Amino acid sequence: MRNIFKYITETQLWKSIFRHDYEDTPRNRALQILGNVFLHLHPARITRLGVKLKHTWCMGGITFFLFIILTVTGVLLMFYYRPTVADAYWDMKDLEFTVRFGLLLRNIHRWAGHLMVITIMLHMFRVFMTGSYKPPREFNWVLGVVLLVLTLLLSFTGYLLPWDQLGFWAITVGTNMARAAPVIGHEGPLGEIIGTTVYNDLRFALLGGSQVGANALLRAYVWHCIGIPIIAIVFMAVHFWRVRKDGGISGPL
Amino acid sequence: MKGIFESLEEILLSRRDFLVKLGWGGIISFLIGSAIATVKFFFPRVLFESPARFTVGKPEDYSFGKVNASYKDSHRICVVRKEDGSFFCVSLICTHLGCTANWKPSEGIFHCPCHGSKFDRMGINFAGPAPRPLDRFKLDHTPEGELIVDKSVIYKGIFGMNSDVIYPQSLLKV
Repeated sequence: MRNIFKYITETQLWKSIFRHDYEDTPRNRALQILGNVFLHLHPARITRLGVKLKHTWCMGGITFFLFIILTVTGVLLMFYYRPTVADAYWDMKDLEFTVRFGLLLRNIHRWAGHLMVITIMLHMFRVFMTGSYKPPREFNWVLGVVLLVLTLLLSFTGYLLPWDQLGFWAITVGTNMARAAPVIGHEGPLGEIIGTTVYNDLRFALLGGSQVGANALLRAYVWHCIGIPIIAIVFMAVHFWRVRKDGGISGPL
Repeated sequence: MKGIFESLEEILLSRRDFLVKLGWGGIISFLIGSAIATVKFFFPRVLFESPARFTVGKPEDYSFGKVNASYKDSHRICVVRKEDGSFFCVSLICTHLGCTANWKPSEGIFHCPCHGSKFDRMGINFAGPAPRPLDRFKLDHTPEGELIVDKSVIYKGIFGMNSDVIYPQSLLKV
C-alpha cells in the first residue's frame, strides 16, 4: 500500500501538479498553502486566536460558504428557469413539483439566501465587539459594508424572480422608493426642477419601464445571476486579501 | 534677444509631452464616453406597456353614483360617475408606495392591500399611511361618443384638498 502511494506521488504527472513534499515539516506545511490556488488566500501562519471559534465565530467563513452554496444551487436553478412573464411562475412551480430534487434545490437556495443575511449581521456584530474595525482595518469594514449592500441587493432582485404576488408587489414598493431619490428620482428633491419624470428617472432605469413588467423581470434576473455576483466576487477577493494584509484575522496587533 | 522659436518652445509642449497628453486624453475620453453610453443603455427607448390613451366604453354604460372597476386589471384605473351625472377617472395607484388599491363596493371605499390605506369614493385618503388623495387622469370623449382616458395628463392629489375643487377640468360632464 505504502509502495503504491510512493509510486503515485513520485510520478511526473503527480509532481507537476503538487510541487511540495509530504514530510510534515513547517516548510512543507507552508508550501501546501502557498502552492494551492484555492488555499492561497489563507495565510501560511495564523495567530492562536485566529483558530478559536469562540473568538471569530467563523461567521465570515460561513457567509462565504453560503455564497458558494448559493452559486452552485443558483446555477442549477437556471437550467429550468426562464425569466419571462409567461414562463417564470410556472417554471418555479415546475421546479417544485416536477423536477427531480427541484423542491430541495429551490429551498436550499432560499434558506441559504436568508441565512447569508443573518450570518453577515452576526459577522459584523462580532467584528464590532472585538474592535476589529479599528485602524489599520478600517477600510476593510468599509468593504464589508459594500458587501452587505450587495447581499441585500441580491436578496431583493431574487425576490422578484418567482413572479408571484408577493415578489411583484415587494418590487413595486421597493423600486418606488427610488422615486424619492434626490435629483435622479422624479418625486425627490430637485427632481421636478431638473426635469426628471416617470420615463427618465432612476426607477425607470432599474425597471426598464414605468411599471414592473417583462423588462423588470429580465433586469432583476440578469442583475441577480450575473451582474451583482461578479461585483460581489471582486469585493470579496479584496476583503479577504485585506484581512491578511492588515494583520491577520481579528487578533490584537 | 530670444528668437521667436525659442520663446515658442517655452509655451508649447515638447513632442513627448504632447503625445503623452494626447494618448491619455484619448483613453480618458473613451472611458467617459463608454460610461455615458452604458448609463444611457439602461434607459429603453421603446416600451411595450399598455398605451396611455384608451377608450372605456360609452357614457350610457355607466349608472349614476357608481364606481366602475372593470378596468382595474388592465389599466389600474376606475371610472366614477357621480350622482349629478359627471364623470372622472381615478388612478388606483396607491399614493403611499404604489400598490393597486381595490374598490370595495360593500364599504364604498378604495382599499390598498399592501399597507391598508383607505380612500373614500372621491379618492380622498382617510386611513392608513397614504399621504395624499388618489391621482386623477384626464377623461374626454371621442367624436364617436366614447369615453377616452389619457394617462399622460395627471391631476395629482394634494393632501387635504378635494380634487373636484382644485381640478374642475378632471370632471367630464356629458
